[in-house]
Amino acid sequence: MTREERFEAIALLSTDRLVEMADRVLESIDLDVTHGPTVGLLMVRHEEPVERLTFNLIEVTVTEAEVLADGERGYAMVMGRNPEHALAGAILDVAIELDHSISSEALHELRRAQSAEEERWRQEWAEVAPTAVKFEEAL
Amino acid sequence: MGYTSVRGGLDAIHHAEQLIERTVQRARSSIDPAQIQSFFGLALDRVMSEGSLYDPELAAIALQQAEGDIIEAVILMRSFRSTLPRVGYSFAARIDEQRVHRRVSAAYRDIPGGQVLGCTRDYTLRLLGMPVDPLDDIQDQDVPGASPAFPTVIDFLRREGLMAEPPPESPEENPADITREPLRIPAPRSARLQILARGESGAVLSLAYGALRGYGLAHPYVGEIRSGPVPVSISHPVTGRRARIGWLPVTEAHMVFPGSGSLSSDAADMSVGFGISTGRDERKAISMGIIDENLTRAEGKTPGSPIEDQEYVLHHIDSVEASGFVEHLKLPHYVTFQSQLHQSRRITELVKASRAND
Repeated sequence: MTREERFEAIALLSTDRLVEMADRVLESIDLDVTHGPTVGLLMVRHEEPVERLTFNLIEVTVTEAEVLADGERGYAMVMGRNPEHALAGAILDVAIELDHSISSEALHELRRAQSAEEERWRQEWAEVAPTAVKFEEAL
Repeated sequence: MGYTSVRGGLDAIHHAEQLIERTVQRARSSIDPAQIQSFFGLALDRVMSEGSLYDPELAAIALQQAEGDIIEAVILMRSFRSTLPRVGYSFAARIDEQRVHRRVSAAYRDIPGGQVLGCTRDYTLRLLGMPVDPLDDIQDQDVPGASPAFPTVIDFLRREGLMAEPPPESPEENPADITREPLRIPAPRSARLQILARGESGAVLSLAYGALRGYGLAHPYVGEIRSGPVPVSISHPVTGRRARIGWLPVTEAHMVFPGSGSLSSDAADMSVGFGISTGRDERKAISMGIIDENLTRAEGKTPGSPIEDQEYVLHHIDSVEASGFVEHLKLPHYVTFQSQLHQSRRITELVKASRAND
């Protein structure tokens, strides 16, 4: 799992599960919270397809946090207002980077979260697919 | 126009505040914001789109507090937004990254990816229905394969040479941000799109309707409408690579406008107006696409109608600005009105005197 995939999966994992694992990480490593957790706005940009012009579409609320442990940075950002999720995510991110003993379990959870997300999209498409039009040719 | 401070009335204002607060509290005791999210998704789409802030939970709270008044909820969202710092910008999402929930074209019948109706009322009877038992889950559907690719109609038009290729580089180096810089006319297209995307749905619809009825360009075609979430991605602060934080539901409308039909014109003279709304507001996306193309074709020309006039369109479709200006009329204008009365009385006296002398 790449660092970016991990980042995406942390956003998908349930806050409760994330906090539970982060609490266990904190029992065994010292870290500094270097940023946040902060609720702020992310300006979402979109590409208009005719001229491929980028414009500012809308802002979304996000929460981000960053921690530092043994010279490694842990970072998380999630959509919405959820400081617990962002901070616990940053802690888990740095724990995996440091190959903490929780890494294996955490990676397993993150892969499950990825799979659940894929399954959710499959379910959405399964509901939508029957609405595809099958035209009948007039003879 | 002049104003004067008004003293007194504080007790009445205090009681009015209490009265509205009690009304809101009653609503809060009977309906939960989570229920609003479940049942009023399209209303929330408008609150977020016009409020220029995507946060369904906040939008539900705002709509509840505003007793369902969408413009009031939009004002609450804009106010809340102004209290938060901006932490950054996403990468620009492209439509080919969309997880398509619906895609229809009124221009091409057989279109790669197919016509996917999705969740729509377009083909239902618009009759008031009384609550009925919930439908059974749909059973025995074939399990579909993966979602197909949905190339855009714009791609087809370009392949046929009917529409110009995009410029090699984006026409604007940095997109304008009308939340940070005052609007100046003529506005760059990035500013126009941002303003239209957060414009009041009814105002955008009304202008587009006027354009269709003859105050604008010829009848356009819905090249396609597509709905579904697009990824929201940032540059990961540690690796510097693109990383996704979530998905944003959007609806895009690509409105195809025929060319001039003249042999002397450029061969690739079809054009597309672009409309977008967050969520599923198709009406607004289509309307925005119509307005976008009307404004683009009128660039550098003297406007022939309001729909071609940037100043008229861009300054009058924001619900917060419009409602603020219109509703300020409720505030005391005692001094200005007294001045009007004085003038009218004086004129009346002069007219009477003049008639008496005749």
